[in-house]
Order: sequence, then C-alpha cells, then structure tokens
Amino acid sequence: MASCLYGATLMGGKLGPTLQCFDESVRTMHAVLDAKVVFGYTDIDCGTSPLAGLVSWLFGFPAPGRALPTAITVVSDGACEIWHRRFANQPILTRLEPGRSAQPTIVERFRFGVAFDLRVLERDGRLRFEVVGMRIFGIPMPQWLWPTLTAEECEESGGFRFDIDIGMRWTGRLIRYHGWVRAGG
Amino acid sequence: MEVAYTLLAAQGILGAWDNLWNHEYKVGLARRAGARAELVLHALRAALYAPVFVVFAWLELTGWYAAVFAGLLATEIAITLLDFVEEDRSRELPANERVLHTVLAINFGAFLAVLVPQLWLNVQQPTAAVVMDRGIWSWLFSVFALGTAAWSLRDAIAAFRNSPPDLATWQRRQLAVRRCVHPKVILVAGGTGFVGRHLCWRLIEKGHRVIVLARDRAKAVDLFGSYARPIIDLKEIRSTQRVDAIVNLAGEPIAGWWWTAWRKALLVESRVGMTRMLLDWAQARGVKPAVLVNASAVGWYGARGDEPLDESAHGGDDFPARLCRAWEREALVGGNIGIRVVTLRLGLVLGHGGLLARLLPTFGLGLGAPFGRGNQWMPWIHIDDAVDIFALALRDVRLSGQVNAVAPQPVTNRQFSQLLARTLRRPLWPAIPAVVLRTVLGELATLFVDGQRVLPVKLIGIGHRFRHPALSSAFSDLIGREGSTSLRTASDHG
Repeated sequence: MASCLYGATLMGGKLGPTLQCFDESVRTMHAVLDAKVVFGYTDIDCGTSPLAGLVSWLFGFPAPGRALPTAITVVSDGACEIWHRRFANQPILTRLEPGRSAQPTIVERFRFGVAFDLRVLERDGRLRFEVVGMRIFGIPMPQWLWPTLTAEECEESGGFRFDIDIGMRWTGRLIRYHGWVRAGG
Repeated sequence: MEVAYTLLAAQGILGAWDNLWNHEYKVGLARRAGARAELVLHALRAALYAPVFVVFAWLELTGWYAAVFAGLLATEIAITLLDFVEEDRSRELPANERVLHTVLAINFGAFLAVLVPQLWLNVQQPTAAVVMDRGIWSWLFSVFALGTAAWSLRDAIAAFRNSPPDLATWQRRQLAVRRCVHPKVILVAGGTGFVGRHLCWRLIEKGHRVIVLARDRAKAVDLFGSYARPIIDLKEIRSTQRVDAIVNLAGEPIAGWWWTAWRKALLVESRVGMTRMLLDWAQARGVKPAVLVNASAVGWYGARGDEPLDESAHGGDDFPARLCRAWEREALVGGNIGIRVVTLRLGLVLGHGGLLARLLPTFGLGLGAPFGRGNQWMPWIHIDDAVDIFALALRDVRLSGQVNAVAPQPVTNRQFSQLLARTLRRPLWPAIPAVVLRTVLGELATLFVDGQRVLPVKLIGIGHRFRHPALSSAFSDLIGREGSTSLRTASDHG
C-alpha cells in the first residue's frame, strides 16, 4: 500500500522503494497526493555580499531572523508539485517537476525563469539534493554559474527538519534557511 | 492621430476591465451600501465618454464644436478627480484597482498630450462637424460608445437604488434577537463571507453567542455590531472562555482569479491551513468544542456527467477535487481528538451575493448565456437552506462526516440559465463555447463547463425539509426580494 501511495507522487516516482528508507515525517512531506499545509518555524541567515542581499530580495526571502513563523503549502497533481513557503508572512513559491534524466532528478523552478536540475540522494537516512544543472528561461547555464547547494531533509522531534544552504563559489553564502515543521499524518 | 486612437482604444479596454473586474466582480459596487456618490460619478463619466467615443468614431469637429468637445474632456477629467477623492473616502481600494486607476490616468494623460495640439488647431478653424469614416477605428469606438452608454444607465439605476451609508450593515439588518435558554458559544471562522454572515446573523437571532474570526475586524463590526465578538487571531480567545462549537467557512474565493500556481497555493493555504490551525487550537484547550462544521464543496466529486452522486460516491481528480479532499481530510482529524466533525459539501449558494450577484448584471442587461454544452449539472442551494443545514449540523448529533448540502432538485446549466433569463424577462443568448472559456480562463473554466449531479441523500435520510427544493422557488424568492427591497440587497453585500 505504502509503495503504491508514494509511487503516485513526484518523489515516489523518482526514488521508488528508496523513499521507504526515510523517516515518517520526510515520507509524509513527499507523499502528498493532493495538498497539505504544515506549520513551524525557520531561521534565515543571509550572506554578507551585495549579491546575497540582492538574491535574497529578488527571490522574496524576509530579513534574516530566528524562529520566523513558517507555513509550507504543498499542492500536488501527481506529476508536479507546487511548494509555497511562507516565512514571516513572505511567500516564496517554487514548482517541482520530474527531471528528464533516467537518474533520480527533479527540476525546481523559481521566479524569473530560473530552474535547477537537482539530483535526489539518500545518505544516512537523510534526503539530500545536489545541483546538476541550471537554466534561465530554458537556456542551460555554464557550470561556473551554478550555485553551491547543501540541502538536506530529515526527521527531528517527530517533525520535518530542512536545512538549505545556497551560495556561489566566488562570493560564498547567499542564503541559508533551516527550520522545522510539524509534518502531521 | 493613429497614436491618439490607439491610446483611446487602450483607455476603452482598460476602462471596461476596471468596470467589469474591479467595480462589478471584486467590489460589487452596484450593490454596496454607501456607494451612491461613486456610482453617480461613474454614471456621469460614462455618459460623457459615450459622445467622446462617437466623435472619435465618426466626426471631425472644428471651431466652436471642437471647443465644446474640449470642454467635455475637461469635465471628464474633473469627474475622474472627484471620483479619486470619493473612492478614498468611501472604501479601501484593492491593490490591483489602485494600480489600474493609475495606469488609466497615465494613459489618458498621454492621450491628451497627443490630442490637445490637434484639437487647438481645430478650434481655430471655422465651426463645422464633418462625418468621417475611420475604418476599423470607427467601428471599435462605436462599440465602446454603446458599452459606455449602457454602463452609464446601469450605474445610474444602481445609484438610484443604492441605500444610504449612514447606518452600519447590522443596523440596517434589524436583527431580531431571541432569548435562548441554553445559548451556545460558537466560533465562526470566515464569518464575514457571503455564507458566514448569514449564518452569524441566524445564530445571533437564535440567541447564541458568536465569535467571528475574520481578517478584517472593521468589516465584522460593520456586519454584526456588538452582537458578535470579532477577533483576528485565535489567541484573543482566553483559555478559560468556553467555546461549544466551531464553524469553518474560511477560504479565498475559488473563482476569484485564474488558477495560477500562486493562486492554487493560496486557495489551499487559506482552507486547509485554517482548518489545521483551528484544530491545533481546539486540541490545546482543556474543554474542547463538541463539534466542527467545516465547509467543503461539491467540487469534491470532480467532473462527473449525469451520474447521480450521493455522499458515498468516489472523488474526482481535478484541482477542486484535490483541494476539497485535502480540506476534508484535515477537518476529519478532529474526530481523533473527540470532536464531532461534519463537512458540508456545498453547491452553488444562491442569495444576494455570491454567484447570483455575479450573474444578475449580465442577465439583467439581457446578455446571459449558458456555458459550454449547457448539459452540465449545477448543484445549487438557497442561502436560507444552506444556513438551515449549518445550524442543523451544529445541533443534530446524527450528522457526522460528509454531507451534501445541495437542493434535492439539481438543474443543468442550460435549465438554470433559461429560468434565470425567464425570471428576469430577458433573452438568453446561445451558449458560450467551452473552448472559449477554457482558452480565456484555463483550468478555472472547469467551474463553468463541468458539473456533477449531487444529491443530498444524508439530509433526506434524516427527514430534513428544504425551504426551496426547486430553483423556481429560489429565484422567485431571491429575485422578487432583489426587485422590491434594495435595503436587504445592500445589507447582504455589506
């Protein structure tokens, strides 16, 4: 039953039985068949470079802070997912689609036509993402323009913990947001 | 002059959009209490725009005629400035309306910058009015002239019918509060919406104590005065305050905008998120509310053709179905903490507001038409029956789980449109093809071109009697009242 359920979702289709390796909270967040809303809190750190401030502002992140009220809304149509994050009432929306590669990759689309190809990995029971491509309005970008990404998701205190650290090789950190939400059943 | 024509055409299109989307759809200006002054200004301005469009369509004016025409344009500017002041005085403009008005002002300024030098040359020539055929521009501006003349008339009638602004809605409503032996304390989330306000009025009149959770405290005060306690955050309810029941009607309007990714997320967040917040709040209380009555919709069933659907039928797979499924699933979690949960799958609620308020202007102007093939089912319910069912769900422990809140006699879209046109004594146009609606509205078009034949089997099973089981009865009640009591109409819209 469980594998059938996850198979109908974006991440279930990509990871197959591997999704079973994760804890319940991680599986729940990635097994959304229709829609889900969860609440929690997030810490946001911004890099010190002017580029970091610009990227943070352009992509809709709030000012850095601790324990910012967070609502994450996931809307799924089976094949694609809308992830709407509200940090301190500042909304950020991305769209997840299945990648074209045979490997477990997904495409995450941001505003301004920016899209990342992300490889989905399981390491030590944690769900991790790795940038394997970047496009702007469909035009592939050279690797030196890709951001560095440390992104992992795991279960903590019965909830869903996420830690996303995005930077550039030549300027250091752009933004880091890490927090916890109650994933529910 | 091509530039001036283009700018005027843009003005016409943007103005039509402002009228139809902002004034008519979003704000419901024609039925808004206290909007008389703004409606008068709109009627006057549209009345001036009509001859302006006629001149640009067919005439070349010189001499005194051109000077009078310039005076017409100056008057139009003066009315627009007065309108800006009146709008700021009488209501809070939505962001997109504010932006659109600014764009319209900039566009009109550009139009004048191009036009005035030519107009000045025309004024200096001998007085004459020469008929000119400007090709496609003539026909386009003729259409605009007819449209603005019709809208001027419509706004003038609405202004004549509009109620005075000196009383708050709850005062105009004249609530007849009865004494209740065992009054309940009922928390209503989304109590200022169309269904919510009618439910709150009913509960107040029955003698219950109502706490209204709303985004806009001032709106709640206008609707209920001191008869209900308005709150904007659940933290405002003390932990010692008893709450016997929760009604959850909160949610962004489903047809309020195209279903973009942003909109879908907002529709989910405002419904599922609010439900979760209410249950988290209820769970944290020492004495939990006994019942949660949560709104849902017949969209749960998806597009289902002629299949009769009772509460046991399986769900659909389109966006409304997924939205309702997530919403109901979240509400039913209340059962795990000992709360009786009823999710009411509402059909299209007919009353002075909601769907009917959107349809009446179009049908009233004789421009109504069915959607798509017209054979899609439209489960509907009269607002009084909807409120009855909410009240029943609050008190009757036999009701739990999903309940179809629709009239027992569903109709097709064609039957609905025909009956509405006949009731208003207006013609009915051929159906708008589904492909047009799907092209213009995208996924949102499913609300108009798809349907489901939903039946209130659970309600009939417990012997519930509907006040308006037939659409003809609902229309004669609502449209009769619309015609005879503008006061009621205005109050219902707030």
